[in-house]
Amino acid sequence: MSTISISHLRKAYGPFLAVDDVSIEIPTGTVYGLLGPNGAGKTTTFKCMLGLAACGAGQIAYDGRPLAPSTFERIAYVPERAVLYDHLTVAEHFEMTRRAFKKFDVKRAVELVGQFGVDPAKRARALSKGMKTATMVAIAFAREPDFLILDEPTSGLDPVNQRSVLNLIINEATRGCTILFSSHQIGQVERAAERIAILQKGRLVLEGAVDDLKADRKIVEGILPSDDFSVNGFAADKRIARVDKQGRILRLTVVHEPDEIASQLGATGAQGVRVVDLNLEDIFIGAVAPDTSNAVVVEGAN
Amino acid sequence: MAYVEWLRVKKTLIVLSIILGALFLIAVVVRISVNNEFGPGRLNSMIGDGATVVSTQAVPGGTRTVYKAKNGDTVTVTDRGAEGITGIVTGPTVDAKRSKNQHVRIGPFSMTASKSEVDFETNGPIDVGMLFAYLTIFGAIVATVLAAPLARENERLEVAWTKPIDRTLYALQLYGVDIVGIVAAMLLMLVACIAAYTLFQIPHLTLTADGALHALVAIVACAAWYAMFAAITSWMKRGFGAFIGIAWPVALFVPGLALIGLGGSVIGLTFHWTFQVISAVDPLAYLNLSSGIPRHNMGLAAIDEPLKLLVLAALALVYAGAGLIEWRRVEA
Repeated sequence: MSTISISHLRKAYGPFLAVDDVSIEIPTGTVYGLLGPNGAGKTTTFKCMLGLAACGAGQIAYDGRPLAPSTFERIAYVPERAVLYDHLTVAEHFEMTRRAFKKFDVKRAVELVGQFGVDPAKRARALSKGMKTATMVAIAFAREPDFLILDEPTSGLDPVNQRSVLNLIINEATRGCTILFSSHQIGQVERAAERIAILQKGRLVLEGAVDDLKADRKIVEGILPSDDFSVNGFAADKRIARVDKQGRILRLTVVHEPDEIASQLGATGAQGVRVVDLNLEDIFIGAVAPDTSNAVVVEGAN
Repeated sequence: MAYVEWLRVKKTLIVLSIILGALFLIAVVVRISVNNEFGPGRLNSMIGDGATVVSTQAVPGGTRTVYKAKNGDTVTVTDRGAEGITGIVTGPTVDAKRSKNQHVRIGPFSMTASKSEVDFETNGPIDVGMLFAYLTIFGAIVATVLAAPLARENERLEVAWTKPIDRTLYALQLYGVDIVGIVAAMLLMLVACIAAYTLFQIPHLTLTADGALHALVAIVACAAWYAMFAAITSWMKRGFGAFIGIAWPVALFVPGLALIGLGGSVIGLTFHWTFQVISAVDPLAYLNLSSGIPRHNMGLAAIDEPLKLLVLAALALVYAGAGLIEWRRVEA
């Protein structure tokens, strides 16, 4: 068992509430994506989870136990900013990790940095941003941890290496590792994560299995007969979670009976009415961007 | 756990060894260039032109020569080569000396004046403990180089604080590695001093209880100096180098200002006591940096060594503890 449990987490920096009452349960062997716009509280959540920042309230548990120094034998963390010791070589970073942790496969670490094109003899100060990230990723994966916490693990990497990191994440999960990662690349999260949580202004606005979130919601869209067509009827419909109107174009985020809603929209004289599957980007934008320019939005009316 | 700190210490010791090695080579060159001064009759110039040799006889390990100086003084010199020189001066110069019963010792060199003679020795016993204590300032410089390990970690708390070790224990390991490094550097310097000395004379090394106490005070003083930096900087994420740089002139000036009394006026006494209190928390204020200063003008440096040891140990503990408490409150 390697479950991460975050319960009613709260963290404030002065008057600014960075994380507000966030609760997440991450089951064993799950790849869990944490999404949110900049400043949503993702990194702060990670820091609180690892004791790098003091929680204002709430509990963090790994397999039901609070974080203790010994827990770090089972946790590997890749921070958003690659924090290597500039004066040390990559190989010396491996040695540092080998001395600090009971489990660290130096051979695998060398192999991994080799895949990313990093020379272990190079000093950290001579590495590019992407190479630094790759080194941190290699160190984390070579530890074969039970919990992997990755904050933007593909930041600065080229598309090929981004793909490699994603493959590593998926492989680790098949080994039984519980992985929590954040990324601005929603496509990557969609590819790797089984469950996601979306944070917005420190609050958890959406959480669930990616497949369920996609299945639960559909987009019904069409072109309205006129610009001033009233959408109030749709906004009042409990089956519709969100109404976006931009000029004559209407997009309805539907949680139940999308075909029925499509028929209703067609009956209003709207043209080109169709039912579209949501992708994670739609879900994300729907959750975090209620206001778009020149659009009439009715958010969460139901 | 403190592998990175150990690498820093190792690098510092390597650089120091290279510098000391270069200085030793210079000492070798100097020794070779003054080789003639160390041959037979090396004291002739000291005794003066016109002195005549009265007698020369072999003694174990060297020769004993009696000189009659032009002014009537008799100088008996026992030269044992690398073992050093001892001598006795008698005659009108000694009789004319105003101050009697003087004893001056600077390291292995000593001179004792009595009513009737002046004895001198060039290679007396060297108390290793005392010699070590003379290296305190050098130790403080190394402590400055290694200072602020916690502040250095603040840039990488994501790495430092995700190791499977309690933070207090981790910080203590960093302190420990650095203190060992400072003592090792002082020992290196000590060895270098003795090696350089050996080029000229074979040292007679001893270790007295007093010397050991002075050595201990030296180590604790360097530890307190190091810990003071930890207390000042452990909460900082950047800019701690400037604080460390400023600390030296401040730490050296404050004890000096505390000695100023401005004639005992109210302002003078206020000035004196203000800086006296400030200098009480300055580890460098307890160091006797010059043997030429009369004891009553040495301020805190004049207090007895056991008390000095206690005060410096207390300062080291308080500073180290304060640094630790601040560091535990830092957030990544």
